[in-house]
Amino acid sequence: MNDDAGAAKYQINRCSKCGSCREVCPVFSEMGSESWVARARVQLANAAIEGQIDFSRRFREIMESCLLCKACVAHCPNGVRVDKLVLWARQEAAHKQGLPFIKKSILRNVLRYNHRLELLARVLAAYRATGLRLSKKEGLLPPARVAPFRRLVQIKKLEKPSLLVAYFTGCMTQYVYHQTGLAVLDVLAENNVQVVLPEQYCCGMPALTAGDSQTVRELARRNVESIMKTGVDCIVTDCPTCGEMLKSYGELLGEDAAGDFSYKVQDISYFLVHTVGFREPAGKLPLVVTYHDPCHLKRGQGISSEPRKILAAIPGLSLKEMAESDRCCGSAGSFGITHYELSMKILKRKVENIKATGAQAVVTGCPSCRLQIEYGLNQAGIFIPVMHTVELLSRVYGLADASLSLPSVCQRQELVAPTANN
Amino acid sequence: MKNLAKHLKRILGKEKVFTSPEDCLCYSYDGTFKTGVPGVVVRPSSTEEVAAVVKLASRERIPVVPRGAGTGLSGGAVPLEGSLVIDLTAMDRIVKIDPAEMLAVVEPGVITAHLHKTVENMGLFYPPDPSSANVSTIGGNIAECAGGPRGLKYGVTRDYVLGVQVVLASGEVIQCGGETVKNVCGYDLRGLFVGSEGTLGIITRANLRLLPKPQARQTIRADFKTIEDAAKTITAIIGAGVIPAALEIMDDVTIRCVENFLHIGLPLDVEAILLMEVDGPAVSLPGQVKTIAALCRQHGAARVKVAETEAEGAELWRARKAVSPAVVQVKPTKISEDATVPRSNVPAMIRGIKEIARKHDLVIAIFGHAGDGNLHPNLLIDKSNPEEMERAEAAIEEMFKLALSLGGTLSGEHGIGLLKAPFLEMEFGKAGVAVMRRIKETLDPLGILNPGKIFGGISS
Repeated sequence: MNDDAGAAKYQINRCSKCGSCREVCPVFSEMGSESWVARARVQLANAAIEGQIDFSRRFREIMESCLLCKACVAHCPNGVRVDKLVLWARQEAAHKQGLPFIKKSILRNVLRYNHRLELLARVLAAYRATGLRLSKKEGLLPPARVAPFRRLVQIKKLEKPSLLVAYFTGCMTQYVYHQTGLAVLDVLAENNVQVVLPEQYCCGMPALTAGDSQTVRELARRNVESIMKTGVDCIVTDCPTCGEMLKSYGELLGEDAAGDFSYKVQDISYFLVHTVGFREPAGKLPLVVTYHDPCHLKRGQGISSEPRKILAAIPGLSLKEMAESDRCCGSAGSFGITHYELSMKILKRKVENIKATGAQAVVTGCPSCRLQIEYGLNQAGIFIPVMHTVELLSRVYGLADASLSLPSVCQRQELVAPTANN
Repeated sequence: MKNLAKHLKRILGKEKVFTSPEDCLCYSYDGTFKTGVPGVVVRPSSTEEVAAVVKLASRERIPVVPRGAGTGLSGGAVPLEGSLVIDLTAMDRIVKIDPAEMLAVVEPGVITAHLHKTVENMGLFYPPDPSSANVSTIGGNIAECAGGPRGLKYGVTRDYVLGVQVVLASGEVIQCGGETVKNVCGYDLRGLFVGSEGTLGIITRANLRLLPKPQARQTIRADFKTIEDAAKTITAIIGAGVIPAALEIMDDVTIRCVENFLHIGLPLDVEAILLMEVDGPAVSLPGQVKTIAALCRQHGAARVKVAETEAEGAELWRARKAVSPAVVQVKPTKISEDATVPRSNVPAMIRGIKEIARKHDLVIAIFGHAGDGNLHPNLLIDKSNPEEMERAEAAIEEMFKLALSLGGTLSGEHGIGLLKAPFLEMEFGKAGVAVMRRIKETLDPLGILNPGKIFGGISS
């Protein structure tokens, strides 16, 4: 048994098979049979270690159907890290049987190279511009921009900044939600924080969840090397998935530099509340919103009160909590594409919970959840905006002492390429 | 087996039949450490489908194992190797709730807590509350005759089953009992099927008796320097005519585990904590609380806390609810027993268990429903250590003997299943077990219904 299998076995031994996870697993509640619940995944991992079953197609299918939402982990009386077990199982399966060709090509040949990622985004943008729709799943493909965020923006130099931070933009902000990126820059400048945008790569989560440990380590090393050179105080991100991944570099690489790196990583909401103590906005925003807790923010990083504190600081704004605000929306990265039907069933419950609040807008701290929820609301004919927490704050900052109306909050901002690329 | 699967798919459609080794492995366990991999799993969605499956199994002489959520603690749902598992969780409709008749008609796959919530929203009450209620099914509760903390005042599942629809080994469907509280028509077959652990038939529908929802409740905690003082308090409270809705005990080992886990300032210098909840009309609560608090003090309680609000009550219960996660911090495996004694023998039982723990060098946390004598000594071990496992098994046998010598029973609410099967004769004697066997043979002449459960004799 190697170290990884030993760590897996430790988690497996903690499972008392009580079945509590049947209450909370979103995949199980749609599928119904025991094979799809966390407890079963634990026992399957055990059977694979003991050689009782193979890393077969069915085994992979079951392991790949996990959202990694950690609902079971948070609920488990014994705290079994089912998410880690599932990742271990995927990694072993990939190791023993190889990754599927398409997945491998993307992970090994695209994810590691920024210009290829940019090219992919541009192809995607061009394809969408044609208006062609070959499959309904495409609604879940991100509405990619032609040019990436980091190439388009110029960073203001502050006179006497209180802190120096690196902004880790994440693929979704880089290629899709430029408005989130702009909001992050605005809000940080408003709070006298100097931002730098060092060269950076995919955080590695898509590779990790696919079981490609080689690519994860490679990307982690590159990010650590590139960002640590800048000598920043903190590394801030608006994407909870990136945030969780970056925070795990220390453990993943087991090197001091990676540990120091991980220690500096903060989600933007955490950074605003705890590290800078953000300036309370004066502008008024009479709006009823509801907040969706992203899995990788709440259970991944223990951050759920911070975004709510930011919302509470916005004058006029009221938060109407939805039922099960921390239940997974079904996005889970590429899960929505690879498991479209299942993802849509899980999303349906989220949309119903949102609808029941009667809120005028949905706020969340994750670009992937946002994309998924926007899609779900659209499909259900509910046309209310979905925004990142930081976008709301930025808009209110922008209009000191003035009232904001809803349409102006959800305008899609277009970035124009500066004359000189930075 | 391949042929059987083909037939099953013809009956049910292929999406309700699972044959892969991976899927079968996912049905090989329940809440115990026992396992057995079935040969095929089906998820029927109607009584007719269950009947057709059982009929086929009977023709093919294939053992059948019914299963709910698989949370049982005696191994009742652990399949015989190569058997046919019938997962009844797809039959999860609440057929009707009739407030005038105080009746719920449900399919076996209804989740217990879902029923709780649904009837409580209508001002009604279904009392049985096993700790797995958030995931356990009514079918499983009936098959194992589940209990819970409310057992003291309200009884166990048996007391709320008015009637059941059962698929017999032959595939025939019968109705036992009915919809009324009063019913003395012939033998009490309904009572026979409750707690029969799937060995006599498969329950496909149940008529459940409901009560009015208690208007209010209140929690009291009392800490005692000695187990004896705590035990005397229990009998004194019930002797005074106050029946709490729950009366739970935690011993010193349990208290220490919970305090290490939660850090909520539990006393470490006491031998027992009693947690009590009274319920009923709001006007009746102050009187009940006053009596209980006075009796606790009279019997030497070091501290008595009365929750004045719902939130304070929840805070007091937090310690009890954290017991399961707290004790597994000590050792990874816990074996939860449920031998039950008359309540006045609770101190003797606790002393005896502590002696057994010392003798076999084991950590045993004792907690549970002291009010009805239903203790849960939890053996904290590491199942990967065979030597420790052996000591645990010896200790369990001694605990059973102790419970019986104190006028008790092997199981208060978990059932016999696989784990307690070897000890059945200790409680009933040869003749008693023979009667049960004759009933089993009459209803299941081919022996296809959940073989090995209750009677043992078949290694799984």
